Amino acid sequence: MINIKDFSLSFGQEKIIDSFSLHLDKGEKIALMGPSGCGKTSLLRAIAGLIKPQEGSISLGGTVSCIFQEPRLLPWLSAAENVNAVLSDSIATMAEAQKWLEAVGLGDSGDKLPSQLSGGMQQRVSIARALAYGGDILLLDEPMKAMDADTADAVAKLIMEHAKDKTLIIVTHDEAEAKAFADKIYLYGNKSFHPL
Amino acid sequence: MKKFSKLLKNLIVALFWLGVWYGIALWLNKPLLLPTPTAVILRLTELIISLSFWKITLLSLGRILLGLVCAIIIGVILAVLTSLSPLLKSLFTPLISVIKSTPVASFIILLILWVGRDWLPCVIVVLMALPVIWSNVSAGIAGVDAQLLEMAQLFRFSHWRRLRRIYIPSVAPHFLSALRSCLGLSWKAGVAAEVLTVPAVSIGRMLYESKLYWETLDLFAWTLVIIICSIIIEKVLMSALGSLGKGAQAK
Repeated sequence: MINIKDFSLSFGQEKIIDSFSLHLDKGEKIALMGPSGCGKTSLLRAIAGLIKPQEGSISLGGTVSCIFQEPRLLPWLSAAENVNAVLSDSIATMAEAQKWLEAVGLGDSGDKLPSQLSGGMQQRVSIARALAYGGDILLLDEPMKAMDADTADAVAKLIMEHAKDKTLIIVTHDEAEAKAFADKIYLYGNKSFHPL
Repeated sequence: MKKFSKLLKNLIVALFWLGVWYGIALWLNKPLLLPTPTAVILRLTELIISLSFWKITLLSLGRILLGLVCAIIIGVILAVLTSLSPLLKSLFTPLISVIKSTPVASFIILLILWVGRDWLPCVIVVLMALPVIWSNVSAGIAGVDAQLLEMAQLFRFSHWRRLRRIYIPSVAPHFLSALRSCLGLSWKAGVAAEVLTVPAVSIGRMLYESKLYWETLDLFAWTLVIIICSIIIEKVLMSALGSLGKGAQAK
């Protein structure tokens, strides 16, 4: 499903990741952990196809959905319209978008603009959007950052419920969060990620 | 209630300045230099009831609006092209800077030989409004949030969806602010071109003749017509394009 071969990453002259390889089959779930600046978000962005690998190659066997560190909502659209934007973006799928908002506990906030929602609520809208989009691979970049513990638990359960058959990679600093989402944890060290 | 008090405030301000004008006109007592507001309004009502007034006003309005529409179309297309291609940007940036810095009178004198007097005001409006539209729309395109574009790339937004959901709402506030500046600019430049080239049927011709025959009352009345037209067009255009600007408010 995901095949990373000899992926290397440099920030300026400094090599951060050197020849990292990884193969994940359908439904496998891993966490990438490491200090800030170790290149885990860049690796995730490369898997998502948002940047080209400087060295090495990445091949995917399915479509990708992602929950970014920031909500990245369209500020001029309501919460429901933001979710609907990754569906058909027409009235035909508005009910489906609303259903996804209800699933993340924002059923009453469908008509609100992102600026009228708290940071945690905005992130839940972005989770609803990623789940609504579907895809075979789900990438999570510190998705619970702006949430309180209870909301984070509820949302984690929801993501796992919908990600049962998906291949999942989560980037996080929180070991408990990593364990909640992943079967295997890869920790950064010696310019690469190694399974714990 | 808020709207009413704003209206009342504007009315009081207008009455204050009309009072100042009236006071100075009475004190001077030289209608040839400064007629009273009542005399100007009376002259304007005389003009309004004549068929030629509407013909003159609509033709001048048409020339200026046509110039503005052409400037918008060319400016937006050029901004898109120069945002997409660094080569085109390098080619067009100095040209637009030259157009921006050239005095309107130079253009008028040069263009009168090329395009003739009837179309010249329209071309002048294009030349005055184009740099403003181009630079604002270019700034809007450059300022589109890269994170939103990444999100659109990841969720495989079509070109149309990117345009509708990201580019248009991001650029709209810049475009509307350019349009607001251009409306006033277009009227001033367009009428100035008409005064200098004197097309057969135009407000500029009426201003020119009022200067020629010392008809100060006509000069004031026609100037009032220009101001009223400019305000009406700004209000109509801005309310028609109001929904475009909602993006900026939501931000």
